[in-house]
Amino acid sequence: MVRKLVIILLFFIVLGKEALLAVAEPTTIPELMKKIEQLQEMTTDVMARVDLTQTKTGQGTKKIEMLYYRRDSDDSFMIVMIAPEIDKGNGYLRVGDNFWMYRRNTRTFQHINRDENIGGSDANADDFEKRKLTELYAPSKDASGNEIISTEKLGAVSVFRFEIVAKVNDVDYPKKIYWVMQDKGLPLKEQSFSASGTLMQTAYYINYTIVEKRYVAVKQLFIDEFEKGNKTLVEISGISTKKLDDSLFTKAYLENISK
Amino acid sequence: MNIIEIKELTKNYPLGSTIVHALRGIDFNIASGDFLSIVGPSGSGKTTLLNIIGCIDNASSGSVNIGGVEITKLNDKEITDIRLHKIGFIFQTFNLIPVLDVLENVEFPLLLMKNRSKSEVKKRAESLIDAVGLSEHIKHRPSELSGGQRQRVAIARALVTNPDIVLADEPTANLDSATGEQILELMKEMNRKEKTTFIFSTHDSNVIKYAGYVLKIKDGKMVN
Amino acid sequence: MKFLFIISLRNLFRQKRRNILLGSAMAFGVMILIIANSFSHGISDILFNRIVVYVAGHVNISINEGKGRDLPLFRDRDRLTKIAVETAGDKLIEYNEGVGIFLRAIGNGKVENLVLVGINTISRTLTQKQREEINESFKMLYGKFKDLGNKSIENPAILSKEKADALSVKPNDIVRVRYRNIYGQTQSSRLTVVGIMSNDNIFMQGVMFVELTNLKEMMGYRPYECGSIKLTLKEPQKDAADVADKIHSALRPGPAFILATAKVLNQDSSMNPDVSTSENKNSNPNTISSNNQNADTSPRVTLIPFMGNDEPLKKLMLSSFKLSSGNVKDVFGKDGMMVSDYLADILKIKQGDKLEFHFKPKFITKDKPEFAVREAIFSAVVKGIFISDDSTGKETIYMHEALFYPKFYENLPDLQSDSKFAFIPKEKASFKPALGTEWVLLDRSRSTDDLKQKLRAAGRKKIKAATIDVNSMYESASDVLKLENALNIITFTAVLILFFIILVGVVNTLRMTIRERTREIGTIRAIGMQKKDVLLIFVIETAILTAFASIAGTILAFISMAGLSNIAFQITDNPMGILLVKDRLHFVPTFIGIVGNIGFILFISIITAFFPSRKAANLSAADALRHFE
Repeated sequence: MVRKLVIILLFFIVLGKEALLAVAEPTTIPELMKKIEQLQEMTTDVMARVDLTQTKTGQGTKKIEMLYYRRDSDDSFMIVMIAPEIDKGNGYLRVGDNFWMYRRNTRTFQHINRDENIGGSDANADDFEKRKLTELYAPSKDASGNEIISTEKLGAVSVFRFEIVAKVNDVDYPKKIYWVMQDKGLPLKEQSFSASGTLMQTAYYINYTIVEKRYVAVKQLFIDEFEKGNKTLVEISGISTKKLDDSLFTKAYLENISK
Repeated sequence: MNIIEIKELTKNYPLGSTIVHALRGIDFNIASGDFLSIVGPSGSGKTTLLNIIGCIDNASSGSVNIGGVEITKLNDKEITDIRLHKIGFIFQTFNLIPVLDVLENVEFPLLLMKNRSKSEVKKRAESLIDAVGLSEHIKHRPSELSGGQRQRVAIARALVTNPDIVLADEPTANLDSATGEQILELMKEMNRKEKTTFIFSTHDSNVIKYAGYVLKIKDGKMVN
Repeated sequence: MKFLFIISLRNLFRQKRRNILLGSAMAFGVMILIIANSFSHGISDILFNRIVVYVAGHVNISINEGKGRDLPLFRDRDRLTKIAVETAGDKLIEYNEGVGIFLRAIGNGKVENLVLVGINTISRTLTQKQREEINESFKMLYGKFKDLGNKSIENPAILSKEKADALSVKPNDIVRVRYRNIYGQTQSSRLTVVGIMSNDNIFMQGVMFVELTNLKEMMGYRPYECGSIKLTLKEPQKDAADVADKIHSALRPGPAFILATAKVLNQDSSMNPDVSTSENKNSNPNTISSNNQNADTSPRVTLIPFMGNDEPLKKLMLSSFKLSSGNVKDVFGKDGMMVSDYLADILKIKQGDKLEFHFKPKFITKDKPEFAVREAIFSAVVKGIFISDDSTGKETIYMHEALFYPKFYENLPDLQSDSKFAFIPKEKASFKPALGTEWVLLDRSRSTDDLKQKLRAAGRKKIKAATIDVNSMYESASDVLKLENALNIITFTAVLILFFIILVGVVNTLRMTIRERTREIGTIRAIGMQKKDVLLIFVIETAILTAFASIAGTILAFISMAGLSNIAFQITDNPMGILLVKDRLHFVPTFIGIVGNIGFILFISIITAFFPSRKAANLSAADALRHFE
């Protein structure tokens, strides 16, 4: 479960590029997708604290807290779990092609080959490779060949609503709908659909903050539309974009921090 | 013609820390067809001498020649073969095999000889049982027989292989005198009929009268 | 010999009580040994024949087209099954496509994890035995097995009573399921409950069954594609490894290539919508007609893959080709493509130009219009031009495997008919080993560990071609055999200790007997019995006792096993329940197992009896006769 969340994190701890410009109407879907891509492009070292609040029907609420470190130069990252108690001290480290999982109670590192499944989950180390939104998806078109895009109000905010479909077959969701702020190009809502067109997940980007002149979605809510009642709230705080020391991204550091 | 030739035969065996000199130099020959008695008190060396002649014990020195074969030079397998083919035994305590019946006990030595047909073995055994007068007890186990009957079986068993020599160690010692005499009569009769050499040991003077020859032995030496 | 046997047998009965006691102890040991042996064999029978064979068949052909991920996908089902079926010949009972997925199911307000397994109910002809087996494993409480094939119902499914209760669904209810299809896409479907079965095998309780064709569609297979193939054989023990070997050699791949027409894409017309994918579900029919416009200027070329992800093979390519333009790093890199100088002349192209390729896929399906691709199209950038000769071919374009294979598999060309027109480099060409094949056939493996290692090594190589692996269950599940051996060794060791105690009894008894019979031994030796026969009498006596005890022990074991397997254990939520069949312990006595065990015990007792017997045989006849008890 935690592993899966790690993957979510990689896509959602994203720091927007400086000065997202106002979007001029009319707009095409590829342009909006480019904006989202830019939002996901990271060009800095990052350190942040991430809190995940998972609610499951019949199981109550579970809170997962972790520290996230990213080094810009080679896209290395490290995650250290803080809570719950059972996962405390466990961590993940990726440097170059190497990916390790650290288990505190056994004090062991499990090396994960890029081509191997991660510890029995269906997540693969390849998932950690970022692929651009425009490489994966293309605009949906209606019967007359026009892109499906419209303007709407989401609450009080004026947004563009647009649909995209996968153009490669190995993406999680073959179809998505985005609601993007008209003025800043920031996504506020995202729906993901299964291959058969069933709504599987809705994401809300509730709160953006500007850190060092970049937009960050510091509060994100993921609602499981398949298993109603399951949801995950992601809260990001303490974001720092200061240069991180290279000694951070080592196995030794992960071991020491967990002692 | 001598069936047995013994020269300077001695036999020593250890008993505790001392050495017992059971035989101290025996020389004698026995002619084929003799009915010989070895006489002497207990511990005189009778049984040792018989055992050596019977190839179940070996000499310490000297030579023993049976039917032209020097037995002191043979290995266990060869000497066992000599016992089987040339010698018959009659024991003081009968020594029949308890799990076998009369017929089987008599057949036993023949069965040890390989390549004899079953019917041949049975015919020969039955004729000897008949000769010792036990035809009616052919299916009885030894435990169902009297002492005299058992010794008759033993005689039949000793003779069944048509041996050159029959050795009998105190054959009448465990029998009452009447039965003992019957047994000796039987042996004598067999000696006549089959021309088999009989050597028997005894310390009973009543028995000695049956002997053709008497060899007296005392303290491991022959006495005249 | 016969009369030695008679004497031994009669001697045995002389001390009845002693021997009966000893014999009982031995019989008990034999009983325990046979029960334990049958039980461990039973466990491996369950694991092997009821689970491993169920999952993987006797022989399994597994395919992975995944680029780093597990993608069990072969693009030409008929070709693969034909090879498998023809090779197995009359040793085959049936073949199945092994298709199954884990999924999350929502019933009426309840959520459960399930395994969905496809069963071929429509096209399969069943033997009487198979029908019985199916009836045995599917005890239907409601509905019929054949309802799975009902086309008028949306995804008919059968599930176990336990799971139906857990999901609180009843017949005709809808179960919604979420899963990932073979490509990893999230997918959801609706399944209609048409049957509820009761199943004693815990392993089967979490399984939901649907018709194979429905499941394949759910999982994203096109009708002519398949996943792994599993074969069920008549005599697996005898034939499995051999059939696997033969299928393996029948599956040697031919060269991979695409026979396409090439045209130059005008660099300026980059507003042309992205056509880098060939299969575009939204593509409208005009793309097909537009392709015929300048057919004359489009030469026919052969696209050939090279294994650029394998360093030594890449070096081989480097040393075999001379470039007239382009730099080595780009040409042999991930998106690398080099065009012959001859083609470059005709097409008037230079490095950096973009080419578009059109080719005919083998499968044009009519029943599924969304899959109907009459012509596959893709484009790529020319990274270099090579100087062609007879060995490289003139109308050829060489591509990096990472560029080639996705297009190749997506719309598999008809290699057999195309090979007449395509240029296929000769076997003796120096760079031939570096060229891609239709798939990569992995070496046969001897054990589970071997297999794991091999797959890991294949994963590390980053082969872009699909890999095919042929295994018999004896290799893929050699761990199960190891488990059985381990169980046997454990029980055998335990029983061996028991037997040593018994054998101390044998030795003791024999020594007593010999002492009692010393004068008898003397007598028979005096009469002329050879030493070896005396020895035999005693050995035979022990052997007869052991044999009697073994027979008694075997009978007792069978009675006990019949008794034990009459007891029903109600284990429902314990994994040990897997080891039960119909709630009962599962014993599989084997002739070889029993004979082997008895043989071993006989051997041990004879060895044990040998030494005291030899001592008896070596007694001096004179001494033995003097012996008085």
